[in-house]
Amino acid sequence: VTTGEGTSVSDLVLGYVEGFHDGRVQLRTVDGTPLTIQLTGTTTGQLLRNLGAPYQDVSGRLWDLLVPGQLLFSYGPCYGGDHPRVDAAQLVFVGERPGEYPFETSGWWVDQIVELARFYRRAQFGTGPVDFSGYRTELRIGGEKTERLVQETDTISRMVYGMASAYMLTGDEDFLAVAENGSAYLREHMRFVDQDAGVTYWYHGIDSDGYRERKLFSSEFSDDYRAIPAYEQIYALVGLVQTYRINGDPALKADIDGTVALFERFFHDPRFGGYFSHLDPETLSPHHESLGPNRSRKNWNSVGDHAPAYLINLYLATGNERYLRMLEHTFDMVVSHFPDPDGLPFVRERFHHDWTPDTEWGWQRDRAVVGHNLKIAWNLTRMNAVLPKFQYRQLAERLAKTMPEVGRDRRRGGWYDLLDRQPVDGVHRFVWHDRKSWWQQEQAILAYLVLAGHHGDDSHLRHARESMFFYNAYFLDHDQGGVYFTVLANGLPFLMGNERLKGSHAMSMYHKAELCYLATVYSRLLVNGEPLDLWFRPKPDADFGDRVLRVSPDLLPRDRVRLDQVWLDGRAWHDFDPVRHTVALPDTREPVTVHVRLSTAEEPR
Amino acid sequence: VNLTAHLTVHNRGAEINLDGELDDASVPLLRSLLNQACAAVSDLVVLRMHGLRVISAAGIRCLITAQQATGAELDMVFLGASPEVARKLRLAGISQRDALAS
Repeated sequence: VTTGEGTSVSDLVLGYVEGFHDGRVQLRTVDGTPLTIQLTGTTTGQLLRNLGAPYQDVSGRLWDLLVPGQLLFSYGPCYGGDHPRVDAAQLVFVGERPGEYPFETSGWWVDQIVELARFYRRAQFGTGPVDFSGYRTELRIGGEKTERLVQETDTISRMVYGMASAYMLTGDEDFLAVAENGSAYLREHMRFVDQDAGVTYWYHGIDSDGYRERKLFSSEFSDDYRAIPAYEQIYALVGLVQTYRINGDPALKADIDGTVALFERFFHDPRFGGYFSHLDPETLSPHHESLGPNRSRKNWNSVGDHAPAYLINLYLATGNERYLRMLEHTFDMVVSHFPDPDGLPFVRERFHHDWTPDTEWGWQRDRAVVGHNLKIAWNLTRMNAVLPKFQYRQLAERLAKTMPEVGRDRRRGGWYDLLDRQPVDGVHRFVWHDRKSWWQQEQAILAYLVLAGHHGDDSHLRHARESMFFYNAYFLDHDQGGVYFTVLANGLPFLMGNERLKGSHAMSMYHKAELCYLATVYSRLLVNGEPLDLWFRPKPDADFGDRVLRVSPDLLPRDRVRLDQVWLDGRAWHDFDPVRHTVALPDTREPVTVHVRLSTAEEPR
Repeated sequence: VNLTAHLTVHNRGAEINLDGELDDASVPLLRSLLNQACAAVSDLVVLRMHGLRVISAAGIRCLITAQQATGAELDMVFLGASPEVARKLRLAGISQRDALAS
């Protein structure tokens, strides 16, 4: 980085300290490039802090922390010309000592999800009771509601997911109450039970002033305007399934199965496989001319997003082979059709009905969403644990190996957004910008954490740690709460347009809560070998297919984790299977709190 | 087609009288009348359902799709639904809040 005459540039660098002499710090950036940064008389330093944690100033003892192996961010002016130099205005240290990663301590992600849950509860309901009639999809940066009255199904379900996950990690029943309340609201206001076809579908949302509702059946989002997109139906289930996983509510199960039937009957392509991306709202046909560019199309969301959004969790809750077969089909389609036959590092994401690539669609054309590639690596790794296939592991490992070179910011850390799939002069260029969005950082973190946990590779763990450092250093809004939608390449929050919001069509409480939940699971059980406590609260009529509660937190490598202890309403309970992670439920008249402790069955990798 | 439907436009809005069975085969007729009604008025469309014995899911989708397309300024009221038709509407999430009137 250099400056031209009369101009100035400030920039961020992520690196490991190699030496510190005379106010100069020798760094090695995460891609291995040596770089010297210059401390100044006003250089400040802080330790990485969590949401809700105070600022931790270390400006007075920088020399204590600038020791070899220390990982840090440095931000400051860069000077070019005959005497190039990079100044450190602000330093952020990952920990007190090299090798200390605070996000790997047991409370980090749990504390973070609690802060997020409090933020969204306060934003939607203030300090009063939980009443979803006042819920609004759109929230300003501080959580204030805008004048837009729309309640989108998916954003409610995403919030429900976040609250349910917060309950699972803490046992705080207030969070479960929000999740159950939101689930009931979705069933009452957003659901269409189609008895003629034997399926259930979900409204895009409602326009509500609290007294009168105006149903919005088809999507109002520009990409999917006046159609029923598969991803909206998929994300309608995200919170319902996570809540069902906890309480086994048979009413939720009926709606979940009705929606799965919708996917199988109307979205599924029995001829070429996979799932279509959109249906016509009147005929429920994926081939209707009203769909325009979405007619007879398939994409990543419609084919692959079933798994992370609800299907893995549904399989975990029920153990039902039918869901496993559906998972297998989606992943088989991904490994069969998404990899580029010409060896490009990024997968193809949009297809015609016969899997011919669609390189003309809307904003995507022949472009790669970095986060989708990482999401595929993450979820193939999960799936490979329960149904090992060479193609699953091969594609996951290939993506994990290639993405850092093409999708990561090799100087500053963090992961980019949208890139051209086809390189020009050896470079996959940015489509619009070099900014970084929160959900794509999540995909990177979970991809590399799960790979490190399942297969034990130090390079995967290093990528996970560097990604967690970037996310926690630059996406947490310490002033107003929640997580920023987008940051600039240098980590500064980007607060323009919809990306200034904390609640919108694209952001509620799913990705950031999922990150907290699964980073806890992977870090504790698979990487650090620490026990994990989870809470469930099955209803007396819980319908898990039997009277057995399944408490496995994710699709985990066989025999790596055992269920050690179980408490029912605070009392030790011994009727459980430590290997299958199942708890035999007693007959009760009231919901029962099931607190479980899982631990690693062998040394962590 | 087992549906008889009439559109009336007056100065307070439009009314569509539905008699018989609103099944999949009669959806095109309903859609045509809804399009005419929404083009003719800008404030209120009343669906009179007193004579409607059956309503299919496709019929309900036609109604709510038309309602969504009208925009927030135009109210659509469902009037006189029989218990069976009201039950199907409720399964579709449509209740008094959505202007299902008895």
